[in-house]
Amino acid sequence: MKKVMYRLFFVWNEDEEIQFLEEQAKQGWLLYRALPFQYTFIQGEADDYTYQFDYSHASSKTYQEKIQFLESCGWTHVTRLLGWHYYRVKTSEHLSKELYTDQESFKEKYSQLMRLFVILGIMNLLSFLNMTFLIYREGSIGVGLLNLFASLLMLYAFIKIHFKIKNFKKRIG
Amino acid sequence: MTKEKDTSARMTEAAYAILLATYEPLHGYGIMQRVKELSQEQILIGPGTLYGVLKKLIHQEWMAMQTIEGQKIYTTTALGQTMVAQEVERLKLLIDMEKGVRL
Repeated sequence: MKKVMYRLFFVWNEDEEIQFLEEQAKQGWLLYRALPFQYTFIQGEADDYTYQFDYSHASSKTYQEKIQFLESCGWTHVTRLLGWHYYRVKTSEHLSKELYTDQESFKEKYSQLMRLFVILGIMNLLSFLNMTFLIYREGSIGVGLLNLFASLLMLYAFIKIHFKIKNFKKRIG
Repeated sequence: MTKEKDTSARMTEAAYAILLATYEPLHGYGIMQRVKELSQEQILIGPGTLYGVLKKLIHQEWMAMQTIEGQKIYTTTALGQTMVAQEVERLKLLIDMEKGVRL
């Protein structure tokens, strides 16, 4: 049996997303496929599972080596949504509940994503300035404000992740 | 204005533990188990961290990898063992410092 659920996943809600997926698994719904805003689950044995995200822009071919390695360590690569890779393991079978257990590698996980936020943030900010002050005609203000909103969103995401990395020690405990 | 950041000289805790674990050839999952065992369950290494550290160590030639029957097996090289010995000397010095204060 299958179940489809619609969800909005914000990058700063990664831990909440993991919790959601783990609760579904407890009820026997195992993630099968992720599309933008849409998860498909299939019914399996209800059990305690641990989910984790990895992030990489790398093509499937380049990233394949890493998948093979993590799978050889007992984790299942469930699916991919854009740069997000979903991994799952039975809680009783893992040696570590996190994919990344030191600050260096945890930071590395987000490095590509942080760069993306910076680039998109700057591009949107430039577009906002251009639309608002250089072009200035009807309609351009609206687009400009959208750009401003997008760049603020990128800034917010950047700051959120920055503090997440900074507070890594608290997280591992 | 370059910030001094010598990652090759300073060994991370994970790199140290992994290098020690592979004095005997091991596969990825085996390394995680061995580190757990050697550290009396105090150090757990996640597979994502392990993957990245192994890659770096192989690049530095402190670690060697060979594929045996489709399984990747990792072994610390002689150079890697020398680096561990150096790190042990450094740690000993730190411990001796504390002894000096106590006596």
